[in-house]
Amino acid sequence: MATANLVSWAAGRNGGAVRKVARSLGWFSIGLGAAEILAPLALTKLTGNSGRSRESTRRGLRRVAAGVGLLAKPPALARLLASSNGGVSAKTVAAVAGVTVAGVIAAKKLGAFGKGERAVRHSASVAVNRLPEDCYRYWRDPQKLPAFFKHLKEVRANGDDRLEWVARGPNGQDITCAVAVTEDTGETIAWRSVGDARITQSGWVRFEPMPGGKGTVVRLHIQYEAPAATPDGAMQQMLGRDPALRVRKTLLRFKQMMETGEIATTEGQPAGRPSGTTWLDRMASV
Amino acid sequence: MKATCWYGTHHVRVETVPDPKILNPRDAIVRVTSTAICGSDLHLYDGYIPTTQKGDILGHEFMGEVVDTGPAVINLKVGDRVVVPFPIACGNCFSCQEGKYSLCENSNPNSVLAEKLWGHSPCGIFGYSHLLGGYAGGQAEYVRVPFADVGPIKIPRELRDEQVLFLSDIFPTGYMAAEACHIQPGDTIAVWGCGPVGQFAIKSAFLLGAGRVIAIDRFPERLGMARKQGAEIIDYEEIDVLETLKEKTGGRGPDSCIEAVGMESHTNGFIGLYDKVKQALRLETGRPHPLRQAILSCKNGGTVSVPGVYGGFLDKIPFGSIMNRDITIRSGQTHVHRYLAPLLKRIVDGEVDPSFVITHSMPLDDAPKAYSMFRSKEDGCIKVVLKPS
Repeated sequence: MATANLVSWAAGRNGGAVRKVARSLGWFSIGLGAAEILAPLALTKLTGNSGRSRESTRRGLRRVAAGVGLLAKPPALARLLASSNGGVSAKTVAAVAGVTVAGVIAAKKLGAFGKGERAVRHSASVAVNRLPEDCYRYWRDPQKLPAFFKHLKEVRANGDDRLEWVARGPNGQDITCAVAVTEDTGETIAWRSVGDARITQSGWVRFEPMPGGKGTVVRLHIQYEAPAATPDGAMQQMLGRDPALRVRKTLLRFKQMMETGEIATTEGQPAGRPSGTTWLDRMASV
Repeated sequence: MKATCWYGTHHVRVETVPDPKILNPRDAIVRVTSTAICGSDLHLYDGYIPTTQKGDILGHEFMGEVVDTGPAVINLKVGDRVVVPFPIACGNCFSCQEGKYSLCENSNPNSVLAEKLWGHSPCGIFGYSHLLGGYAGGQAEYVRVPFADVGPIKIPRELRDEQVLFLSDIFPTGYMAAEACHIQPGDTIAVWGCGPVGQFAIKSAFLLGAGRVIAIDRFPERLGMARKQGAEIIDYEEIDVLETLKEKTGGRGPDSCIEAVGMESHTNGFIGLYDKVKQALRLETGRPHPLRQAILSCKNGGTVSVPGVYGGFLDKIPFGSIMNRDITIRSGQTHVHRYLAPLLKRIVDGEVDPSFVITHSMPLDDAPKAYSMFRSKEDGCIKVVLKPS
């Protein structure tokens, strides 16, 4: 369960406050689980619908179990958060509270409270000072994709509508993914990963002429789908630090390539410190 | 190479750093022959520009000689003498094609950071925080110039560095501020701040047909320079600005007002203290009293033009005055590129010699001293030029 996982990441200290947090997390978990088991029942009564989500019940039970676990064994959690010092600082409590909130947000983002499948979707658009057909042609060229999809190292074409994406993995190893072009109208290109990967990625891009022949609005939609049981870690690894920003930056890079033929950068410039760039530049260049 | 680096509030050092390299096809490397400290550099020096990072190379007013070009730069060759505009602009995007170069949509690699603060991002700027791209600046021996096929302007040999250096920023900045006033022949223009940008605003207002310019400051040498240009002067420590402007204009107020002071203005009395405390507590990011005065004193239906630099949020701006009296506010980073050729022509024709603002010339090595001198206006310091070699 995401919340508990995240809590266990917190560096903290031993003591009553941790136990208190564990206890409240436990109750929270039980409450949530109970709602997931009972609410569908209530809903069934109201609507007279006989079908109900087995997945929801299962998840609810799991949550209740996790909650009971937390209540029964707070020392286990406490030990996870423990250090040699016996006191609990306000910082620890704040950190634990912080990651709890972060955990709930992360879990929500990952669709853990959703239906049987977890899906993450992000869209963005950008205005490009080029004709739609130019934009389309550039995007449709497999060799051009790595110029603006930063995580792609190489794209190989296998016939007209099959691509092989070679992505940079988190530990330096390459991740290969087979992709099928599922739609290609000259105005829209859609694709979907094929094969037995647990997480399916798909997307579409549309090139709409701007009023007055001024250029093109490029819309990009990216979607990741996975079975509900997919661990958060795998999902996060796939999505990166900030998937929404990544989609937007992909479009900004596409715009730069289309308009200027290069990507604006400061990587490799001099500075009065070891690196020409800083954490701010890295944050902005997802 | 040697470069002026920022390490914190009132802390700059000249450090030895690696030489810049060509990173993109449209880059050029320029060996800097002259560079200047801009009034806006003092906002960095005083620590008021967020996202400035330790080790950042400062400087956005510079010129020099091309020593290397990327494969896509065909308009420049090694040995060309150029002035480089402070905004970095691609020349291809919607904004650039409208001539609004400082709103270039492609030159700020950190545009997503700027969007968080300002809604949308302007262009990247040399040596002016990571919000504006984190580009290394030109108070150094060498500098990398992105989009070198669009920005730099070639300079004829017969002109001295001192005559053309300020095409990089303050001359076009003063000029654009005056242009924004849509000056009609004989207009009265009031200018707050007689620093270098104020001086060029005064000069440009006259060039564009103003009948009278009234300059406001408190430093005798700055007021003296303004008077030499033909302006009437107000020392705001001696007399009430609003009353005097009314009195000088038959109660109507100046046709247009130019605020060339920016976020770190000095104001006497309660209001001055109020802004100082609020800015120190980061409850506002600027001390905008000259801006308030400019708004309140402007004639009905007039224009307030603001070349002064602001970063964030201001307090007690009399918006009611703007609304009820049909005041137009004009501002923006300067679209330097579009002024380069016409202003260079004015220099070549002998109409303007921008070197009149220079009070000090020092070796680059003395940059820390120059910053501190310029900030405290020691020795009548109005404009410092630094020489890297």
